[in-house]
Amino acid sequence: MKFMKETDERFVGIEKKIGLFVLAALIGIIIAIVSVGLQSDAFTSKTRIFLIAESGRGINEGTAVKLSGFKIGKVKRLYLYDAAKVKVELSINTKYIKWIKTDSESRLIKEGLIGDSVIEITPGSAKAKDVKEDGVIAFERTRGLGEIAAELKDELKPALSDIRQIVAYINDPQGDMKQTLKNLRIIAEGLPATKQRLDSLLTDADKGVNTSVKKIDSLLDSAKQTINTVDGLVKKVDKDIPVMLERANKSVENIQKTTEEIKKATEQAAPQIPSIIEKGNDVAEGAKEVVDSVKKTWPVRLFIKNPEEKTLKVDSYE
Amino acid sequence: MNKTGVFCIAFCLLLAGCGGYKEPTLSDAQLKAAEFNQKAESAFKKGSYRRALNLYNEALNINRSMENIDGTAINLINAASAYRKLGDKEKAHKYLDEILNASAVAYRPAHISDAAFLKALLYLDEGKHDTAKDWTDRSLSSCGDSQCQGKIYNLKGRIELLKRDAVSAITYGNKGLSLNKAGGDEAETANSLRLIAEAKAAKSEYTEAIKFYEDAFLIDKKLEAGRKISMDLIGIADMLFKQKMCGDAVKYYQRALSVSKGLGDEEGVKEAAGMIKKCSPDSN
Repeated sequence: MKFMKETDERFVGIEKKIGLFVLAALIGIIIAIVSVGLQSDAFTSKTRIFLIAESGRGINEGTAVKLSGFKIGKVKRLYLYDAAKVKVELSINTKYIKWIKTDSESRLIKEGLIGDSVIEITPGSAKAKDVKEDGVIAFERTRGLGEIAAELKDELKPALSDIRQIVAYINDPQGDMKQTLKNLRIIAEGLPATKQRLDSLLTDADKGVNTSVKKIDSLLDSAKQTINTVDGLVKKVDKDIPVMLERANKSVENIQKTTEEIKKATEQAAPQIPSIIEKGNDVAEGAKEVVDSVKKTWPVRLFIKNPEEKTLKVDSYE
Repeated sequence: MNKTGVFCIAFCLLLAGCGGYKEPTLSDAQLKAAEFNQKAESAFKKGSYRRALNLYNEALNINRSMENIDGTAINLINAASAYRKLGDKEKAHKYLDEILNASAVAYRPAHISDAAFLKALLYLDEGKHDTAKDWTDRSLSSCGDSQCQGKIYNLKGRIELLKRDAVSAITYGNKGLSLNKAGGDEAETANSLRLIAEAKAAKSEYTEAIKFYEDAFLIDKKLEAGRKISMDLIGIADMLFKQKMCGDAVKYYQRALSVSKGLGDEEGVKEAAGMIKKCSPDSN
């Protein structure tokens, strides 16, 4: 029994209209699902291979796997394996698996100095066999920022210790340097007395030889002046050296403090750096994906040309 | 068709258009190679030849790994150009020989023509005019359009002029001129005009030479080709100088000097300054 009469023109054939609308919506949804699947490589055939790492540090699910700089897959899963080692499952696009050989090697590297962690696989030798599904390839880890800083610290330590020893040697009151300076001072102090003795001897000598005496006198005057200058110099050097040594000592201490502070700062910042970089990379990657998707979307794609390789124009007058 | 039908079709098309995904025509590797090639071209134009060479080699390796013959040829030629600019003629020859002596791979005639053309320029740099001429013949035999023929005839003309055969140079220059005009290659058209002007100058036909230099100058100025602008100005000035019109010649030398200074072209500056000095009353 019908409660409403289909007298209104707008309801004529309403079932067909709704049916068409639903059909169109379904087609649209299917197309969207397929295109999203194509974009995210969901329909690409994958091959599973493994690598065994000493630890899972720096390796995460989704970490890119690259060969010759191109992304060929990603880390799918990590398991704790025998002897507390980590077994890493890699999902590689099957079309690229032919480049990975049984003697291929993988390593965890940073892209640039502070780039994202990626697993890079070397192509292996031409003679080696292709790696099969569930095959295992060798893995090594490259040194991180913290390890490099620790190595640098180990190298700087002996150098600083050597500098400290040299300063202590110069500063030692019983050391050769100080003793030499002391002896110089004693000699300089004795010189005026010697001069006086010489003076009295000369006074007793033949007073008739005036010209000779005058010459000797002038010579003695200049000798006295030289002795005074040397004495002044020795005193000045003796006064200045402790100050200089003290300054050198302070400089070494400052260098040591600064090195310690740098080390502390590096140690504090080091754990945060990878996560900051990772976040930055995620943001950049997301932005790139959005831009790439927009580029592939109608009608934007109509206005974007694929780049092409060109020969340089060589001029006949070059 | 009623309104509902039209609406449904339009809606479906809109959905397909929005959700649709255009299959990329280039693979990731091809895109990367193209990116390297374009970055290299930009570096080459800025005069960073070492960087350009490294980038061309990157693009070359990618193309080789995919056995992309066209891409390999393009990057071999471009890397050879970079080696030429860096003065490493041996490497430039080696790269070009890979195309010209290929037996296992069939490179396109256009690429063979380009490689032979570059080879001719390398021999010209070395002063081996006859060998350079042989390579222009090989380049011409592989060239299929008026544009590349035009520049090859220009080079042939330059070689003849260096061999002091001004008449043959004018013949090749005229041939190049008509082909370059037909092909719409303005830079090579200016080169043809400059070549004819230089040949006319060699025949002491100074007034006619000035006309050709002026025509070349107008095109080079339009193309903002600095070094060639300077060449054209010096050419005109030389013609005036030879006709003992020193006052007018100096004006052109000064313009050439200014252009060369702007380009940082030390040789151009030296040449123009030297001629200005020659024209000064004190020098007589």
